[in-house]
Amino acid sequence: MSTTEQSRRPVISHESFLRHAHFRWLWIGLFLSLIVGGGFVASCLAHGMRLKHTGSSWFGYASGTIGAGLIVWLACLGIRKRLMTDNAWSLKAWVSAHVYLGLSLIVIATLHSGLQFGWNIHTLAYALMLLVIVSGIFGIVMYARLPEKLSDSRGETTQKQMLEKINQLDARLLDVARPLEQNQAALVRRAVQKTRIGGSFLQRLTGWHGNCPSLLAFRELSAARARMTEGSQATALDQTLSLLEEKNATLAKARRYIRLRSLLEVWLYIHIPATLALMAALTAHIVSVFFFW
Amino acid sequence: MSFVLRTIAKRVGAPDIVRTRDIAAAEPVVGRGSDCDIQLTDLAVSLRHAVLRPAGPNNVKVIAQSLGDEKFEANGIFVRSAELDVAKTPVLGFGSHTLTLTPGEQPGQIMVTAEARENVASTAAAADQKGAFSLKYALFSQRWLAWTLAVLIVALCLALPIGVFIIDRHKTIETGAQQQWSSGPLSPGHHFLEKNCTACHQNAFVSVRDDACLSCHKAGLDKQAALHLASDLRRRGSPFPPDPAADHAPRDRLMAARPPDPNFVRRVNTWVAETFSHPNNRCASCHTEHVGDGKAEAANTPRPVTPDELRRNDCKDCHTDLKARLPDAKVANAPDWGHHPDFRPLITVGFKGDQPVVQRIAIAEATVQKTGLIFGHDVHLKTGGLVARMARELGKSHGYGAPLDCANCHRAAPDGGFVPVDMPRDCSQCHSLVFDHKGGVEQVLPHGKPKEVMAALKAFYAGGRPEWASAPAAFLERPGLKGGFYRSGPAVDPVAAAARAAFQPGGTCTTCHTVIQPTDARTLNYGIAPVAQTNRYLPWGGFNHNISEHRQDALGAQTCKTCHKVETSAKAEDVMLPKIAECDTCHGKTKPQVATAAGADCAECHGFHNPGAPVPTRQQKMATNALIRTQ
Repeated sequence: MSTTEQSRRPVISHESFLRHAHFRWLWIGLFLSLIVGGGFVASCLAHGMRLKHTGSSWFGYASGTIGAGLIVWLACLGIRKRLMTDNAWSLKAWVSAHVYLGLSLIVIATLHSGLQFGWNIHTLAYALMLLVIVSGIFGIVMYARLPEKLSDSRGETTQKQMLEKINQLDARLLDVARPLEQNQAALVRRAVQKTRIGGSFLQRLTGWHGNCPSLLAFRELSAARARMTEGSQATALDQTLSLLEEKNATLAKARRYIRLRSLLEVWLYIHIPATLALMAALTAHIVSVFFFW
Repeated sequence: MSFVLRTIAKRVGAPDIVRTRDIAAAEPVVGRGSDCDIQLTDLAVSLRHAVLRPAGPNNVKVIAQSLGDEKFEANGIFVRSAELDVAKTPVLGFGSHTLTLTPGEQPGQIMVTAEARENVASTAAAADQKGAFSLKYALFSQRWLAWTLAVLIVALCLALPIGVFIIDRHKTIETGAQQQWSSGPLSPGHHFLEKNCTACHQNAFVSVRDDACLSCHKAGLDKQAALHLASDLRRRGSPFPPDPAADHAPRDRLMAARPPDPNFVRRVNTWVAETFSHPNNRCASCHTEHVGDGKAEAANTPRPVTPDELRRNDCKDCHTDLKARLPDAKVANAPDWGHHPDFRPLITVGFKGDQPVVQRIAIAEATVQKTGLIFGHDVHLKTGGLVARMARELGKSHGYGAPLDCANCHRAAPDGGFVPVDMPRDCSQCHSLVFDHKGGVEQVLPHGKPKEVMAALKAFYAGGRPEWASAPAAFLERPGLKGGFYRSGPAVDPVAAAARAAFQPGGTCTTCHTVIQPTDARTLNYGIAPVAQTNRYLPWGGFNHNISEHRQDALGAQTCKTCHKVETSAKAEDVMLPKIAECDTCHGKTKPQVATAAGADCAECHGFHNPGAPVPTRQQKMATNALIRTQ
């Protein structure tokens, strides 16, 4: 019965990189950690070794080689994702391995370090590695939680549609606001020219746009409209306000979307530079260890 | 009609649209309002912004005048009013529009060319919108940051230290550039080298060699060299003089004695160590640096080697089946305490001239030694009898007062052994060397060479004293005289009489010494058979008599006789050393078995660098953990 049910399932279903191939890489990562952990214990038993000075034992060299190899391979995701290949090594499999093997580095590198830390190049490399891993974990959490919200936040519109709508509203605003008083026109002009959809880094992450010229213009012009009697000016102002309201609504939607997208991207600003910094520090670590052998 | 308006509308990918019309007003108004003569559709322009008035003969000039507070641009400068020379093609700017004034086709006519400027603001807005959805445009470039960090780290953490190493081999400048490579603080003794990496790491990509260690820690330096080294190191910041470190056997023999790796793990370890030029037979293999916490136990003392640092070859590794690898080895195998061979004490088997000839003899066979002395421990240690009575009579004021015990003659030395027995100090209270009196003062023979005795006697009797013709009364009551009095004949040479009283059979010296009689009795050339007191029977072990468990029992009573069977020894030749079984009563036992249970580790008695002494107590616990650990 279950076989029948399974066969009815759609052949292609979405499977996140975390669950890829029944968590194959999670198990491989755990296995690798266990191997290295076992090596550490064996080394302790063989030499009565304490936590310190593990780096210069056979365990240290082995775990260091594994760790360095892993780091180089993990960094190669940056190259792999730019390559088009057949499905043999799908990008999803690669990302799954990237995540779980990257996490296993916490165990491998920590045992390699022997918890001997200080203000030196070795600890710098370790700290950078942890920074890369932690930022990566943040990225995973974001990727696990946000994409659904992301498409929800856009509703039915695409990025391009949102932009075009704002552009159109801006063009009409310029047109409609022509009869307005100079200071009112200036507000509209500012709203059209100075409104930034994304804004600064913090604005993108927080979604806070309190000083947005469009919002300001709407607020000021609404107040002005309240003081105004009917007339051709009032009609123009009404039209302007209506357009501004629409623009603000569109902006709010776009900004929610941008905020979510920024959260999806921001960790990469730590992950990628820290990775390259780690490669440099790792090189310095390895060279220095053998230089002053 | 002074003004003609020409408007140019730009189109992308197509010719511009140019429209020309005459302006009815003599003084056209420029503004956004639909009533303006020159209408500019730009919110940056006021409804009625400015007016253009022709001026000068034949309208060669135009006065542009703002109609409100708003300024406008005249040739790039924001003004409220400007007088412009038409011949110079002035350009007026209103928001995103420009008005260029040129002389018209007819005299007195002014052509106003209105054009929309390339809209800078809207271009900026377009760029913003393009990047609105990606953080890339709100933040620095990832790539730029990544490369900057990477280049910085390579430059500061790799290139700089290597550069300093190459340029400044002799440490002429204290840069500390390489200190960032130090994986941890040095031990307190080496702390002054913290910035001087090349003191130990002398060659790039070569592990720390023993030469580097021995440049300070070489053993066997003469006093002058040692002082020089100590002062040099103090000047460089060393808190104490270096400990000289000797190998406990010649290095090539140590290397030859090493066993093959016993298991896979060790084999891998050795392979790694040797492949990576990091062999484990170096000083630094045990004395690991950069792993401490940098804190001294006491500010000015060297920190002992910790088990963490001492982690290589165990004693038993080499001392198991040693003969198989080192056939001429003199030391027996000692794989563990349970299989420790019995002692082979250093026994004096004879004399060559005055010098004792010693041999190491297994203790089971080492029952007799040459001492050159006549002495019976049994007589001296009896609780009754002549000796005990004399000791009592001498009293506490002389350090006696009770039957003799070992400590009356054998005084402990700080190194755990004993100060050699000294006849004047330890024996002469009873075995007097007084040979005469002079003015109520006892005259004592010097204890030493017979020649000195003779010289002293000759000096004393140089003047000759008839009343001394008889034998010295001083000898009468002392041990060694078998009752009765010396009754010498009259007019005897007092020197000869005194010499014979000392050296001839039954004389003072013969109590303890074998006297060699002169070939010609008249010459008085007496000799004493050479004497040897063995200071250390077991030179390769560091038995310490000062350890309380080694010398007294739980109640504080001396336990010398437990190990040394002296009470039955009637001759000085008796070797009274205990067998190793005696040690075994405590060492290797557990507390439940024996209250005084003690460790059975090699380092209890043998140090690595000085096998003849135990590892100092302070380090013992730590070192034993490291040295004797079994796999």
